Amino acid sequence: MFRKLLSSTNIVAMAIFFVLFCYGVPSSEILLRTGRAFLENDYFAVVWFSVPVLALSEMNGIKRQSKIFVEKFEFTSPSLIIIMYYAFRCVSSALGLSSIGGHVQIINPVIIPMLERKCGYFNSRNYENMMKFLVAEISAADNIANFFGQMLFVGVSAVLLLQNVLQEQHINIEAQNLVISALPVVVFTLSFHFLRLILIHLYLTYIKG
Amino acid sequence: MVGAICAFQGFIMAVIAASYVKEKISRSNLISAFFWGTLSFVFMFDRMVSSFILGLCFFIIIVLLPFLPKQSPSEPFEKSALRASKGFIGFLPMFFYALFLIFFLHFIPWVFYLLGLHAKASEFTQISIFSSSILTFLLYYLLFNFKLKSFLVVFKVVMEKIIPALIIPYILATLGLTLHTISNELANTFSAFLNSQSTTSVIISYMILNLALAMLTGNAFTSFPIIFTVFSSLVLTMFTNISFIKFTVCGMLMGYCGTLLSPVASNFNLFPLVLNGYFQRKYSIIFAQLPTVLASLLFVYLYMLT
Repeated sequence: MFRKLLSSTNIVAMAIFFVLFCYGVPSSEILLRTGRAFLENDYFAVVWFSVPVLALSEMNGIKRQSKIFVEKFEFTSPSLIIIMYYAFRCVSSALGLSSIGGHVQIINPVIIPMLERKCGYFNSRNYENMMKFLVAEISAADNIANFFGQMLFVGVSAVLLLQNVLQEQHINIEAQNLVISALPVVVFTLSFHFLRLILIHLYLTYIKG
Repeated sequence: MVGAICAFQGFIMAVIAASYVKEKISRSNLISAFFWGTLSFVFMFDRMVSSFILGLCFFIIIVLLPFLPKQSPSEPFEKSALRASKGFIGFLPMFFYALFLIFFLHFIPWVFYLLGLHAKASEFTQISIFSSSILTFLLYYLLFNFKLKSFLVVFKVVMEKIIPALIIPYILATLGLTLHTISNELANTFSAFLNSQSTTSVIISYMILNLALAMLTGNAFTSFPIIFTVFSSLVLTMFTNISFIKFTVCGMLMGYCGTLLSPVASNFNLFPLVLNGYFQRKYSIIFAQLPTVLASLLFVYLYMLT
């Protein structure tokens, strides 16, 4: 029971409450502030509505259809699917369309079944390991493309948050200047990960051959 | 409108809590019923009760969360999927869901934004996923004659199996916002220490603290404002050789790097594995992200120095 209480979330909570306590905030005030923060944050929960849509699509056999669909393209390989998805995700995030794509909406119902079908040339033991590797890679590609790609769009929440925080300090910087400043880091990171995916593709093509 | 959506979710949570109460009495059922009951209370009445009671409920939720039974999310739908033979028409609702999202999440808020109605634009962004989901459910109803009762069953099953994993970032974001209430006091403490340091050590401390707090809270959006408040006045007054705009942007990017390395950012680094049933290698996504994050960290350091 004690081990369960020491979950990562509880440790973070204890650490933050301890810091607040050290700064002289009384325990009743800590609860009050936490309650206020909880209320400020409740829009986040609306995102959960996308999950039942996924469940419905699964019930209607979208995974099976994805497998049938990818079979028509003989030239594709699992790594090529990841590269194509990564490029698509970078472009859609850079255009501010970060909701197009994502673990729930696209990766789980569409991309993973495609990878499963295209992994067919590995024997059963290697197939399991390869799928674990590919699922981690596609998820990582999605996260990196989404996080860094969205910094290229002025209207996205990250840039607006930067502006809000700056305004709190009475500093005015235009959103486009923030985007221009982020450009070198974003381009470097996205290119680096692209290069990494190309290397994975070359390696998988080599072991397949 | 957001309040009504939350109240609706609260109602579903109350149904889940009631289903546990109806089952045979056991320790795990009682814990589950209490967890869902508290969550339901918070979602249904958060705008009516005092912040103190909300804080107390929050405390109960984080204590009970590790004791919930673990379940596989996609299990109940696999059998139905085997029976389903909709052909490529099965793709249609998801395709339209994407189109609805573009329309509600991007197009309409931008129209409001251009008209100068900033508050409306922000409110609409919050309800866009709800509107898109409702229209997609309607499409399922029209195409596959999907019943409202089945919708409630699906919603209940999904909520029950996925919310315990998805609620962690929500909790951590709340904790980050709570910590933000003492960011000025934190700034005073750090200023006293950092005043006598060199530019390089200030940049490195800024990067490390951003990275560490984002790893701890699993959310760059909650960690960045705290660390930025701590360092900003110092950079503006003492370390004017650091470009302020680069300093601002790199702080957020460091927050992203921290989120990519954080085991508690479960919606990005653990949830995809739980969802897809490849959970044996728990930190495989973080390891896949590690080389890119390290390269990015090095680049950010050099970029801030120039």
